[in-house]
Amino acid sequence: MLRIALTKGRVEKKFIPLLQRCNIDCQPLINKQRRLIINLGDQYQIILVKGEDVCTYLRKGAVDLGVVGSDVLEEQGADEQVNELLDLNTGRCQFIVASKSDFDWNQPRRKVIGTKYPNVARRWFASQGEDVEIIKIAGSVELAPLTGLADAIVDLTETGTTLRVNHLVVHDWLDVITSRLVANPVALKQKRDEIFTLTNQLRQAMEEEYDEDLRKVTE
Amino acid sequence: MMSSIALPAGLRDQFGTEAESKDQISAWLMKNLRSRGYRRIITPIVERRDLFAEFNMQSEQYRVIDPAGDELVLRPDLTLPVARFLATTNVKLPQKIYYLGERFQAAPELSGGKNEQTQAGIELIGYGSLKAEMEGVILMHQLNRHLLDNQLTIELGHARLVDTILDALELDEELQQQLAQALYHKNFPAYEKLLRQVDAPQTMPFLRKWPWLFGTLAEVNDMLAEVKVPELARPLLGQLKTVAEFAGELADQQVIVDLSSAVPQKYYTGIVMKGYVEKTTGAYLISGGRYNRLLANFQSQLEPAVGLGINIDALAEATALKPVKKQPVFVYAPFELLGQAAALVEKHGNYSLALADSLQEAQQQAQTAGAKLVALDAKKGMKEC
Repeated sequence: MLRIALTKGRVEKKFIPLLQRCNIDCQPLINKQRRLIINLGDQYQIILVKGEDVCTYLRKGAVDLGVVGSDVLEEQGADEQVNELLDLNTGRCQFIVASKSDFDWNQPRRKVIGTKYPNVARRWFASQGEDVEIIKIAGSVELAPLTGLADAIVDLTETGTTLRVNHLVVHDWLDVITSRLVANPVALKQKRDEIFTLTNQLRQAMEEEYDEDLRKVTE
Repeated sequence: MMSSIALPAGLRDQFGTEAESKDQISAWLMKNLRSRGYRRIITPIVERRDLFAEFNMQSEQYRVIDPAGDELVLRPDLTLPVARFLATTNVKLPQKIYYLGERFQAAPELSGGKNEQTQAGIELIGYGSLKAEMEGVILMHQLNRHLLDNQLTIELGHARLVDTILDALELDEELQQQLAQALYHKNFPAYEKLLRQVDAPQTMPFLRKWPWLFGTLAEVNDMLAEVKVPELARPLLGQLKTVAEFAGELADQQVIVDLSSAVPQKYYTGIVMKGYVEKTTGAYLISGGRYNRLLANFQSQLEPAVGLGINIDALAEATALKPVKKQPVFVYAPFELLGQAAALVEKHGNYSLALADSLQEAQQQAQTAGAKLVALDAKKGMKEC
């Protein structure tokens, strides 16, 4: 049986249709109520966790596979500890640097950046040759420039609506973020065939979904 | 009060079964290696930081200050101290060395990882032949048979395979590094994306298959039959296959090969070996390989060597503690008969004094310890209670 740590919420919702396309009965997952461990037949066991915890479960070998946003992988620098098998191309959004429209990016002082992703922010500003002070914020990052807590933010945006509503403008676009299927390196060796079977089924499901979407657009 | 004496994060006490399991395994291993002509080495737990600097040990190190004010580290690795010892003394090579000790590597904070690990291992120094790798494989097989109920899988790779193949493509340095990292970490989407930047039509069928090239030797051979292995990689692959075939012939030994196996330490230069069981997913029980250039960092002379590190903590988790052969016996005696009690204790390996002051208390203590109680009485002699 493959144990899969699935990120609760948005990632979970987008992953279920892909599993269904692989002819996996997802009713126990859809009707899960408050359960956090759900068996899908005798092949898969889904463990619902927060995105930040997926790699912790994987590293300790508590699960074989994980489904998690690449934002979490980037922030945790997890690429050395887990194997990334497939870009599921769901939950698409993008890291941005944003500030109030009147913020002067050229002023000669150390800028203050509010973010939920301090490592991503630090790496990006370092790549720009800028030393910044980072303030970690747990939620509603947009508030930071509006209240004077920070000069700018590094955050995720899907459509940009929240930024616009809060009168923030994008200064730069960073990496595009999607959900990824990741594996524990030892589990990949031990359960190679089962894991690759699921990976190939998911890949095929993604292609079918893409074809279907394309057909809808062209009809 | 509690917080001032509580253990720091990442460290733990080991008591009872956990500690005894480690002792049992270590004792078996030490005796086994000594009987086979290996020499024991014990190196200090602290070393100078520079010893490890060259190899950029990935995690943060524990730093300690010696009485002279010099900054030292708790050793994060046990091979480099052995290399230091050989490079700075006149020990004649070749040598087959074994060790047992603690190493300290910081796991990510609050991840549940262990910062202190007991590691045993061997270093075969001055041996250039593939027979040294095979000796390592035999030791893994012995561990498998004696401790792991034939559940151990041996994974074999080659530390030079990735660099040799990528070097021949004459890629931009950054692209080459990114490809190597994507291969070692089996990051399939990143590898496929990077491969689009590579212009090597002849090698491309192999390159496309490369991250998938792991499994049993038969499976990998089947996959390789469909592609042409780059010329320069063939001798390395030949070595890998020789060792894998040898390992595969050992009774009940599961073996897999991985053509992009991650290299456990930067100093490896040849075959790399790892061992794991299903019970301890996530951790390799054993890892090692050939490191022919390590000693060259400390002295002018190159010495071929193969080393194998065994994670005693992970091995103990995967191994059931064998019960002691004879049930312990506590001997209760009044003070005037302690001489007789002592004679019994010295005669029998499983006897020890009952330390209680009353027979009733001694009975309770024996029961708690799973021991039998015998009592000495001036009139009745010895009786079982």
